[in-house]
Amino acid sequence: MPQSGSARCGARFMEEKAIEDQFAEFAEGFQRLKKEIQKAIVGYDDLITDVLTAMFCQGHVLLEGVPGLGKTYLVQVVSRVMGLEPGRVQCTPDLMPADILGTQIVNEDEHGRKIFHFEKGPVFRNLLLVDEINRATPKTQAALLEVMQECAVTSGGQTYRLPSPFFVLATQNPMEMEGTYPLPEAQLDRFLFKVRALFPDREALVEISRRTTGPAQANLETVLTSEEVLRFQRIVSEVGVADPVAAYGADLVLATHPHKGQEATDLRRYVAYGASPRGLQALVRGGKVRALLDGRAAVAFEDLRDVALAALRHRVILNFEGEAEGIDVDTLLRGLIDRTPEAGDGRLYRIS
Amino acid sequence: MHNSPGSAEEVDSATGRVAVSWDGLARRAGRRLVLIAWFRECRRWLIWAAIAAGGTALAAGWLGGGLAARLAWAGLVMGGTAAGLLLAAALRRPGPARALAAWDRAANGRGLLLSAWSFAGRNPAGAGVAGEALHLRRAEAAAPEAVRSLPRILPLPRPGWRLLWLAALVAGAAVPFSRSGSSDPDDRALGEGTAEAALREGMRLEMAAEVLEAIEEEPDPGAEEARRRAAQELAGAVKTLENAEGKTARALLSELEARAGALEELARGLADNTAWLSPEVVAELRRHVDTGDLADAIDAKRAEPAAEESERLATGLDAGAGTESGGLPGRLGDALRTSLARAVPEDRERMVGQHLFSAESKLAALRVREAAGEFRALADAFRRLAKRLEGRKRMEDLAEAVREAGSAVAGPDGAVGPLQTTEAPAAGSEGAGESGAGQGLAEGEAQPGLSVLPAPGPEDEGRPLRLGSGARSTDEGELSPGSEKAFVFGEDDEEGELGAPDGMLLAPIPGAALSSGSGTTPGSAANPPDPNASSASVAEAAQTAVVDVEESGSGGSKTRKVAGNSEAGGESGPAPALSGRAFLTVEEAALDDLPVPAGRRTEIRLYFEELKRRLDGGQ
Repeated sequence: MPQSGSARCGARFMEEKAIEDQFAEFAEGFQRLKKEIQKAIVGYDDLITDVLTAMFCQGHVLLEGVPGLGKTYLVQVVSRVMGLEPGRVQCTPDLMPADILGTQIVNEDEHGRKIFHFEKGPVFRNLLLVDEINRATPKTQAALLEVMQECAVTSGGQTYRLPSPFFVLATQNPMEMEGTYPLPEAQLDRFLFKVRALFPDREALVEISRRTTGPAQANLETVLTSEEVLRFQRIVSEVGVADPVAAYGADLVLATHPHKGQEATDLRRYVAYGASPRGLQALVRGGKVRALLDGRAAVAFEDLRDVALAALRHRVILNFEGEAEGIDVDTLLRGLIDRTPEAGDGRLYRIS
Repeated sequence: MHNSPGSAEEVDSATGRVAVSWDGLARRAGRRLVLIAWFRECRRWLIWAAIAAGGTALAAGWLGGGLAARLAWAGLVMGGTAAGLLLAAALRRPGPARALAAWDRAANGRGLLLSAWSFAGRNPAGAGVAGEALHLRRAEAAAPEAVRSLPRILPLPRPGWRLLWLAALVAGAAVPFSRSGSSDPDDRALGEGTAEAALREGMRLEMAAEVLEAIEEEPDPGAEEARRRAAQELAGAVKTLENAEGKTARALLSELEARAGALEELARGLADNTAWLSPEVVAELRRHVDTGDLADAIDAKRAEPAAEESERLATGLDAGAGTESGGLPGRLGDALRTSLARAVPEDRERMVGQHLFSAESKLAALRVREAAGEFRALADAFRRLAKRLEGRKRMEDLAEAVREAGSAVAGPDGAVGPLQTTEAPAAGSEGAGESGAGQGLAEGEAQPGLSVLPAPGPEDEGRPLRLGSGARSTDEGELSPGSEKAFVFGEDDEEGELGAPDGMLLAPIPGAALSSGSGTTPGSAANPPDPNASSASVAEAAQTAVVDVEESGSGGSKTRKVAGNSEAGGESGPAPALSGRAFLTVEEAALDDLPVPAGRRTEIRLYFEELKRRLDGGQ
């Protein structure tokens, strides 16, 4: 029996009300999560936002910063407040893939027969901290490829699914480059965001000293469960993206390519490779989270710009000249963002 | 829900919800943006358009356009610029996405309208992701308020009143300027009074045209054609004068000058100097007793005496035709042979040369009667030439009369500055306080004291010419060559000029006076020496005359020393007359360097002639 007009209208209204409630719940949960993390982490507001954004986008994060900035601690805090099972890998040059993924070991069954048993490695956790990832050998780094992309480990002809949700939060130190193995482009592309941990300012340092040297430690609560994290990830996918906005994201990605940018002479000079399509995916998915946080149901140009640095900075590969001259990729990207026009932009009709 | 042109809001028949026409909103925003862009460009180009409008108004004024025309042109430029900018803005009208994005950006809407337009166009049935439907509902709810606040969100640029005033000032400042409104008196339109004078001058020209009838009595096609064209030019000049009202003095004089130039061209075409002989032949002819008078007449280019002499030679040849040898035919043959031996090739082409060469060959062949006939034909040719020369002279006079008419009409309005004649300082006035009220030569009621004098010279008989003179000058025909008149004047004036530096013809310099020696006060001068005084006083006066400076409302005059001439110092009786005549001669010579119209120049020369004649008569 077909529904009447008012019934359709009512059903539709209920659907929209439900999704509106979900969007509001996401924003509220995100803020609660962030507030709880900030009980332990001083400052780093943007960094926490970026990390959480990447996690709700089902992406992995590469944290870059000098030692002692609390990167590892951040991961531990996040895992605790999100109710995720943490795992940790401290990368060294002698770290083997099996040390991360797991290995087949000979064991005896209940009948005393020798059998191979797969001993799962530390990746079989919800939140994997790969500390100083650039100290692992390329072989070990490559072992993370399948893990990060497929969320599965294949060993002995058998595939083992990783727990869901699964996140990799890798850290690397940009200063001590001796004895390190810079991540290859393919590996970098697996990370949704690359977030830079900046040195805290004076007030933050004072607050750090106050919080970490006293008798009372931060009493962290678990704000979300892993199921809620998964639900939030699905909510993010419901955010709409208008064609002009998506086109703007595509323009940004295309503009990172040295031979496709129209006016970016600095990009042509210093950049060897631009961002991949995964960069556009990162932009749009990150933009969706930003739209939800702003209480909107559709991505705006501003959302893409907000996440553009985190989503693109590790996907723009400098050439030799850029490396030699110490060009800052963020500076290049900021110029690119300023130059790339969005729909409705233009000298004649710019409303400012 | 669907997009459709027309109103921004529609009712969805399926759901009963108020649906928004996002394309309609986009068009509305597009129109607003076009308007904004137009305002902005107008403001940007306003000053340049104003300058262009002012320039156009100036050009229109220069071309003689009236105030309405200048205003219309200025308005046309401004309006055209505005229309062009509007067209350019409309051609660059933004598309729906750009318009809505600009609206969003201005309202800080974070893509509310743009995304809604995109979602509505992509999923007409609302079948997109849940977020799209939610966004559409939110955008529909916000659309009416957005439409209402559109003028506030996308405000038109402020006009910039200071800029507008400046532009209006720039454009408006040029409008009042025109040829008729300029400070140049030549550019002023002639008034009603001058129009009457123009009509009077036109009538005079019509009467003067009758002299054309007397140019040629015998049939002469060339002269007939010249006379016909001269009559046309004259009629044109009369018409120009009749329609003088409303024209500027410059335009009137220009037209009349063109007519006068055409008349002069016709006059030159009527008779030129190519008919005569080369000086070598004339010199040789002068050496012979029979051809001496003919040579003199030819040398003086006087056609009538030459015709008479040719006729006399023809008669003599006829009388001596029977003689065997010697006599006039023989002598004339020898004279012609030796003279024509010196001829240049051009002489064979000339009228006189052709007849003389023909006569010489006939005399050499002893065909005396035929040679006599040749001289008779030469006499006829001379008579025709005389007639043509007379016609040429009358045409040139007519050309002068045309110019004179123009000067008479336009002169009083300032097209031609008032000319000043010699003013004898009145006794007791000593030049002090004289404001330079010279005696203008222009005719008309405004110029009292005009007298009509016959044009001097045998060829100008009957041509009425007017001569102006001052109230204190020579109404009685005398120039008082006494002490009042005797301007101390020497022969060795190094600069060769006298009078005021601004082209005034005559002394006294306005606002200045003459003094002899030192000790005079500015603006005054000692009386010139009495010509009947003792030789010592005259010699003293012959030293140096100084014109002292006097500042007046018309500016300061120059100081000039005039070296005295001892010639006048030692004489008692004739000295003043000589000084006066010499003075007039130099003044007349100085006339050549002054920018005086030709008609007036002629009048002034006649005036000088009359002065000299009376001066001589006074002796």
